[in-house]
Amino acid sequence: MYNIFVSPHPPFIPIIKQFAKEYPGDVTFWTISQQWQKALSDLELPAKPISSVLTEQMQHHSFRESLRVINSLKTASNGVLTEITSTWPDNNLPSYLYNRLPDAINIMQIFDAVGMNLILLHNDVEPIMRLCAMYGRARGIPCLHVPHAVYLDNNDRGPVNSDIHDVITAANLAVAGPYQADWYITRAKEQQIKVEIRATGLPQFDRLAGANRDRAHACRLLNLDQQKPIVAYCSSWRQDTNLLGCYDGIEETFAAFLSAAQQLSDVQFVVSTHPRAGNFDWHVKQIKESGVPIVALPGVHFDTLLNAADLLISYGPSNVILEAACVPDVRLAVVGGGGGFDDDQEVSKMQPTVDGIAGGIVDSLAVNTLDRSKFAYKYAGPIDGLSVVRIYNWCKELLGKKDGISGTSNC
Amino acid sequence: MKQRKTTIKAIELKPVEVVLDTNNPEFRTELIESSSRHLLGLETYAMSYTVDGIPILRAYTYELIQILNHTWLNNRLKKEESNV
Repeated sequence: MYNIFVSPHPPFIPIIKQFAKEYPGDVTFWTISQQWQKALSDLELPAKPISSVLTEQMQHHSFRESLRVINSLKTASNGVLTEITSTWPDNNLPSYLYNRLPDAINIMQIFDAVGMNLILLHNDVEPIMRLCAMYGRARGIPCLHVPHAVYLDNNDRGPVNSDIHDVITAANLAVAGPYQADWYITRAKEQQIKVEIRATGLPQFDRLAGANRDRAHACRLLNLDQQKPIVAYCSSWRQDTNLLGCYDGIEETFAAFLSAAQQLSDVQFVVSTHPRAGNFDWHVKQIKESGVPIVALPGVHFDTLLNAADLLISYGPSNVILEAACVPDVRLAVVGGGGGFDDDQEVSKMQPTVDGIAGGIVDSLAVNTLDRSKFAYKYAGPIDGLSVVRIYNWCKELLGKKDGISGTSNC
Repeated sequence: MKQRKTTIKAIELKPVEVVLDTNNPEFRTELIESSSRHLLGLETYAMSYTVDGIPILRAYTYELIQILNHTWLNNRLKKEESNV
């Protein structure tokens, strides 16, 4: 019997399905939330929430240890946390920590009780995800981090190791392609941390293998006129974990975009927001107030938008650029957010001003798309639909099962 | 130099709206140094507090750094205001 913790990341579902198919009754997938467990159970996959094994004794231990840590901090007299503790009343750090530490300690105890054999994560940065990766290192349990995105450098991120996303914790790391491999190798060297990195490709790009778009169909679905150009504007999330990203660039640039759109009455515009940014309603409100006829589209319809768009503009160096690069005839542009893709001529760079955006749209639509196959490979790796297979085989290897399924290939 | 509006946010703290000259090279250097110092400091300092053999506070760096950034920007704002 194998116990695998899997973080809530829908692109993992094909991997889970393959395990369930090959080892029926022999693998249990443990989830952090009941919603994720339900999503898997609805697909008839063997999933249990970790909370189902929590005991009263574990909870007592968690609260006791949390208080010990918090009391230790109260008397701390050096280190950077004293900048927080010195403003203790304003920051209310004790209640902040007391709301969080017991959960973290519960998870560690549950992992011990279950006897986790593998930890599969889509990031090792957010608190609980990082805790799981730390647990894996401390207990010698294999932990595979399959990044939910390719982190891209820009002028706002600062040098290596100035942002929390630079920190590596999981012992095994799957990467998309050469760019992400180099990105993590550089950081691993600087952090002097041992990590096995393999270029497997990322599962979210598998669906784009051999993408052959049907623009007319997509236009019908979105009620857009296929005779007129369509521009997709992809907004972003605010990176408060790095001081250089901690400003209102998203809002400022979107205001400039709306004014630019007002000047281009022959162009149809569709706005998409980052799935976890929590600012979709804000964008809708701005569009309404501007009076410009723009469609705001929830992220679930993003693939339809990719099929319809003639030009995709991304705020900052987003992964949507990489996805759009896999779809024929979608021109690529980046605006604001510190720029990005400085060395890649496949991506136009627009100034985050009204004239910069309006002029950039006209110029971009006037030229044909370049061949983006090298660009896509550099950032997204092989778009062959087999990332899931390579990651599945690696999971089996980490579990001590050597017989991989067919499909391992060119990484 | 562009005066860039900045809304300072952090977990569980009230957002503060300020105007900071983030295109000023000296200010950008300060920002980078502050972020890097906070991150390194948090990582090192959190190693002191282990539970069941795991330095548990390290798991919260993602959120704690936002609080530190919030504190730093607030202090920087006060410094700028006092210079006016």
